[in-house]
Amino acid sequence: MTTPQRLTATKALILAGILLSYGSYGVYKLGGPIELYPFFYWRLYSAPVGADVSVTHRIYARGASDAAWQRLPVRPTRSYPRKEYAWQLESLVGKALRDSLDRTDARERVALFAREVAPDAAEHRIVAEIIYPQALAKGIIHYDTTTVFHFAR
Amino acid sequence: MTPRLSSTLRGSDPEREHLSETGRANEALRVVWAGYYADRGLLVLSFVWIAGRWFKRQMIAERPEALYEPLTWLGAVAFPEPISGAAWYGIAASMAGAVGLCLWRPRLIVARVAVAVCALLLMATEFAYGKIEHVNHLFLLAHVYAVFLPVGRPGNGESIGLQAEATRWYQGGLLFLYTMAGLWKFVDMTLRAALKPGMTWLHPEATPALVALSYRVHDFSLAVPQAFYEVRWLFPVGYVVLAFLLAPAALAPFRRPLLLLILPTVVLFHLANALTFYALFLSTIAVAVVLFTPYDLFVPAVRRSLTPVEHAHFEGTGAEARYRRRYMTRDVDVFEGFYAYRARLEDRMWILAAPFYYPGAVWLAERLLRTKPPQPST
Repeated sequence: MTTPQRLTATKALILAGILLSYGSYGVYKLGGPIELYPFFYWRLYSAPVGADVSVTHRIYARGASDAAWQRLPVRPTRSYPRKEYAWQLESLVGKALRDSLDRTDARERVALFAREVAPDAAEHRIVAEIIYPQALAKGIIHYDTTTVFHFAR
Repeated sequence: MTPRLSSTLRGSDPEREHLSETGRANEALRVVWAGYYADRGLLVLSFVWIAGRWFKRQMIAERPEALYEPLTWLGAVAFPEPISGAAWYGIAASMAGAVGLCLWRPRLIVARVAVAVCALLLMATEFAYGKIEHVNHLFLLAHVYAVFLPVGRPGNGESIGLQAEATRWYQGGLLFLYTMAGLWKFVDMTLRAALKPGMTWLHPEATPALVALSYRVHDFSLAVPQAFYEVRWLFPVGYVVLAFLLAPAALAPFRRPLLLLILPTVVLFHLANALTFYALFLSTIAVAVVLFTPYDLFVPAVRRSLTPVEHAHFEGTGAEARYRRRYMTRDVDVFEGFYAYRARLEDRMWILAAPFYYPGAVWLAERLLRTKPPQPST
C-alpha cells in the first residue's frame, strides 16, 4: 500500500469511526442497545442525572442464628473491584426488577451474586436505598429503604 | 486535503503565512518524528496493557459462570460462554506477538489488524458483568485507527508531507472523542437547559450532589463531597472552562502548540473525574500522554534532523508586522500581521503561542490589530 493510499484509508477509517459514534447515539435514542461497540458517542456526564433522588441497592445478610440484618457495604472482593461490584449488583437487580413476571433466571442470578458476596449468610435481602444526593452533599445523611428481594437457603 | 480545509484546520491564512520549502519540510519532519515516537510508546505500553488484562483475567476467572452475560455484539458472537483459559492466553499471546511485529515493521497491516482485533476481543471478554467500561477505549481506538497509518521514520520527498498529514489526522481522530465530549456540554448548557426542566451542570449544587451520589454508591466517606459543597461556586466555572478547552481538542494536532493546552486538560479532566466520580480512567491518561506529547520539542535527535534557522527578524507593528525566518538553506518563511506575532511567540516558546491557536483567536486578534493606532516614529 502506498503512502497516499494509507493516508486516504486512515482518513476514511477515522471518518467512519466518527459517523459510527454519532450513529451509535442515534441507535440508542431509537431504543437500541446502549452503544455500538467499539464506537461510543462520548456523551458521558453531560447532564447531572440523579442529583435530586437516586436509588441504589445493597445486599443485607443474616446468619441462621442472628436476629439482626447486616448491611453489606460495597467493597472490593476476591473477584470484584469495588466499582464492578456496584455495577454487577445494579445490573442484576435491574434485570430482575424488569422481569416482574419472573420469566427468566434473573432473580436466581441476583441470589447467586448475593451468595458469592456473603457465602456464610443464611438469608439475603436486596434492599433499595432511596438517597437524596443534594442533601448528602450538605451533610444531611438520610436514606429510605425498601426490600425488593428476599432469598433464604 | 483541499487548501481551504487545510488552512482552516491549521488556523492559518496562506495569504499571510508563506512557508518556504525548508519551512514546510521542517514542520513535516517534526510531526512525523513525534508520531513515530508516539507509536513506539503506544506499542511498548501495549505490553503493559496485556499484563494488566492478565491480572484482570485472574479476578474474572473467580466469578460464577452463571453471572457471565456479554454486553457487546462482539462478545455475544465471539464468546457466548465465558472464554476458556487456553483461548484467552492464545489471544493475549497473539496480541503480544503482533505488537512485537509492529515494533519491527511498523507498517505491517496484518500485524496492526491483529493487534486491534485481539485488543477488542480481550476487552469483549471483560464486558460481561454489568457495564461496558470506557476506560480502555482510547487505547483500543488508537490501535484501530493505526491499521493503515504510514507511521515510521521519516521517508523522503513528498512522502514526508503525506506521513505528517496522516499523523495529524490520526491524532485528531483520537482527540475527536474529547471534542465530542466538549460539544455535548455546549448543547447541554444551552438547548437542554432551555428545553428541559431540572438541574444542569451550571447549578452550583450539581457537582457536589453528583459527587455525593458517586461516593455513596461506592460506600465511601462523604467528607470529600461535603468539602466540595463548601466551594460549589467553582464547579460551574470549571464546567464552562472545560467545555471550551475540550471542544477544540481535535484541532490540536493541526495547530500543534495547542497540544500544550489540550494534553494537560485531558489529564486534569480524567484526574478530576477520578476524584469526583470515581471514574478511574488512569490508563487513559497514560495513553494520552504517550500519544499526544510533542516529542519534537525535546528529543535531541529530532532537533538535529531539522534545518537550522540562521536568522529571524521581526519588524513593524499591528497589521503591518512582518516576521521573517531564514534557514541555513537561504529559504525564508514570511509571516504577516497577527501571524507574525504568533510565529515569533512560537519560535520563543510554544506555550506562549498556544492560546493564539484557539479557534477564533485569529479573528479577534486581527480585529484588534487593525484598530491598533500606528506607533509614532522615533
